Amino acid sequence: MKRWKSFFGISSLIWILLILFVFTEAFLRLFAAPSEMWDHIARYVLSDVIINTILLVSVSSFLASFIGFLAAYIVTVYDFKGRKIFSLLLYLPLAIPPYIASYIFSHMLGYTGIIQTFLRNQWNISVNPNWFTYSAMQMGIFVFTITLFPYVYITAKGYMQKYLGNYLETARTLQRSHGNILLTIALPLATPAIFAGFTLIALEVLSDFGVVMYLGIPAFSSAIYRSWISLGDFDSALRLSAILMIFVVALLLYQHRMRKPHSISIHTRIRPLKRIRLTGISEGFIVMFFVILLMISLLIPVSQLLLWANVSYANIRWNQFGEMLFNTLTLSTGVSIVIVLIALLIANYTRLSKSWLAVLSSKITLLGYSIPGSVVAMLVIFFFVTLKQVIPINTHTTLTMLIFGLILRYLGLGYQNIESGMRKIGLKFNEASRLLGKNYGQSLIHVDLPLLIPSLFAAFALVFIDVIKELPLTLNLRPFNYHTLATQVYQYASDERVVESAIPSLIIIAISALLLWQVIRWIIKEDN
Amino acid sequence: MKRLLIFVAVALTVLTGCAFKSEANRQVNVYSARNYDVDKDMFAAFEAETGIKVNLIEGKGDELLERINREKADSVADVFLTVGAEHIFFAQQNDLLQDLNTSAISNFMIENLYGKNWVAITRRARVIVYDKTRITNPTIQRYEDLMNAQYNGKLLVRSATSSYNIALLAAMIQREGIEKATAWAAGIVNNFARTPTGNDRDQAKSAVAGLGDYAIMNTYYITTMSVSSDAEEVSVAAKLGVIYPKNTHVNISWAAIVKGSKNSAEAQQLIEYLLAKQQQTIYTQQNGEFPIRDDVAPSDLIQSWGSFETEDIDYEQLGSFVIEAVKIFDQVKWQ
Repeated sequence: MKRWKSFFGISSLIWILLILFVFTEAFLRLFAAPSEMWDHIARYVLSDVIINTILLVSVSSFLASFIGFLAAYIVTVYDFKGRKIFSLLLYLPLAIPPYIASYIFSHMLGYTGIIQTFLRNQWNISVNPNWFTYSAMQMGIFVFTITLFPYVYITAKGYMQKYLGNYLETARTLQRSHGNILLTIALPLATPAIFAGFTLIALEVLSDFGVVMYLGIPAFSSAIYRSWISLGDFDSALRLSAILMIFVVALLLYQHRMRKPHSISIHTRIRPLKRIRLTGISEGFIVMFFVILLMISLLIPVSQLLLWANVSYANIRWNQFGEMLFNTLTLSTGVSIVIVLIALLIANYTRLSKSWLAVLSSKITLLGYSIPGSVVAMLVIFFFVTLKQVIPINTHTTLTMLIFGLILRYLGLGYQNIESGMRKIGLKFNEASRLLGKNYGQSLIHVDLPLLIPSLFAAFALVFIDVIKELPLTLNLRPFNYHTLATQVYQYASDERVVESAIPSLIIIAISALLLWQVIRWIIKEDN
Repeated sequence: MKRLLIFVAVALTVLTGCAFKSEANRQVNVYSARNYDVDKDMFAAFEAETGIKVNLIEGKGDELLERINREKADSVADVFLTVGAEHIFFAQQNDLLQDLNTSAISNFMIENLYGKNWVAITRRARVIVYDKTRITNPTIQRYEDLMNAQYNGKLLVRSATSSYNIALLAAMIQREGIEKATAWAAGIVNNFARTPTGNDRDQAKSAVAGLGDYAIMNTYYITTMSVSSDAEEVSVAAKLGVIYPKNTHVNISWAAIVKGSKNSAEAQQLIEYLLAKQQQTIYTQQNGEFPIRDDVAPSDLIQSWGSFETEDIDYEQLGSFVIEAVKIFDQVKWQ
């Protein structure tokens, strides 16, 4: 019996130790004497970076969470024309990588962009270009908001669908107003779910590099990169990363404390939600809201890419495309499956063991997700250089290093999803199973796993769409002659050939969207 | 469940197994920060001509260099190809490069463009551009002229995080000293048309749009814009006038053999191949870079901008001024 429990414990701890080992180099930096550059960074760079990062992360996470929650609430509680299709389409903006969105919108508003070009060429109107200027911060917030709001949409919707039913009926019986229900019942109830999505958004914005670098926002990730690349001071870069990691762990532990254990799922019977049918102006208003939201976050960026694809397909090399597609699909699928399995082990361990060690390990899984990928890449390379002295591993002809790095980076994302799925189920079924004589392993496989399947698929899909667009690790840790669609996007974009990067970008988006679409539809069916 | 496990097993085998296919007898491992189609074509041609297999990892120059540094004890890379002379200093300081056989190249290389363990393969100039349909008689002759009060609110340039700007300022420090370079950077910031955003091409477009009058950009992007898939970019490129300032900043793309290379003969062979006339012609015609030998003419577009006087700097030392350059950018608040 106990053997299984220690199996989960030990296998989880091995992973946690591995993660910690990779990050040791960064943490040690905090205790070493600062380099001479550190003074300069602390004096001229740090305060700006902290202010800008806080602004960017908080405003975009807040706006994205607001939109995500509102959209989730409306499709959960109301019925209106197109509800079903809207509720599915709202997942898809997640398929658009933020850095690609930043190229698209900057270009569209620019001089050669579709708006100004159209006015100039069709109507011969040369508009004042100042009308289309924006600050880098505004553009950054906009891009993160429209690409990341589905994180909260997903978490909040799943949660409200399950638990809002009971309260809603009562509230309606008490004749509470629409606004009142939204603010005093749905919002507090969904807060843990919103916060889970909010955390993912915040972490994604914190670790983003492509958007802030292109737009020129002095954020943490660009400062880390700058101290390393421009100042040639990798030590300071690691020190900055370590500070960032401490900040992130503190945030996560705080989030953990905020989350009260929910036992609704076990005690109350879940009552199906009866949606309120909207008509007339209110229906038109809601439909308009979704149409505009989806136009900005999905239709416009994809149409722009299609236009670019149309003019650039003759100018790009196609000879390796099949291989790239194959590499992209196998890598993303393989890594996502492995992450789901490891995350399942760790989540099961932290669920069964309530010790502080378990809580801390659960947070450590998110470390890799919180700091810039290029720093993670260098830490992984260093880890393997050290490891190679003990075990002969071929890092240049196999995918070992890349797969390890990607797991390290996205384990937390998979873990978050599986853990929240496990919390929804609670421990009752597992305990009952063990009372009936099954061991921990059997209980996990026969009792929890079937109930968890929707969460496992959701975790798989979310990890997959992150891995498929991932850049710094893929670029730095891949073996010789290994190209993916994302590295192809990088090749064109780094050469400022944004138009030529449209086709590989579109394929990445199409694969991600297709997967999300299938998985979501499947989960919805399963849930019903 | 069983099917899932089988699938995982198959996926893992595929993932780890098929990354590497055949191992040719002779090969050369290249870490390249030159992510261009032209380069890939050249490697393919080299393979076909010599039978030496080129294994390629592409990435960002600084990251690749950091990787080479970390792999020092057991080096895998043979050739390092990158953009930006400022990295030579780091590479030499950390003893990452192996001596080249320079006797084979010294007869045709332009002076200053190679050292004992590195060699330039192309050059790029950082110039001032403007909309020639709008501004007919630009009077700017030096980078320093951009500091004049008459250009207040007229200058477009990308952020200080760009390695091109860092190299430009580092070269200025090397040539003129810290004080003058600081005054210059402060003067430019003073005349900004807007807070720096976007890349080099965006600066050119904004100049044509009229958001500012003069933009600092690399010549190389004018060529690539002129053959862009986007017709609007092509028309922007056609409107651009080029000013070569006195002491025009010219940076290089360079190659070196990595210390501890296990295929150094093949590495030398590949580098010499890239320096040959035919390849130099392709670099300038297709990629808009300046050749590194006098007997290859720059592309027609480049020639149409006229001739210029290159700054005289020591590329090996350029990197030692980078830290000062970044500090200056921070001090004058060039974001």
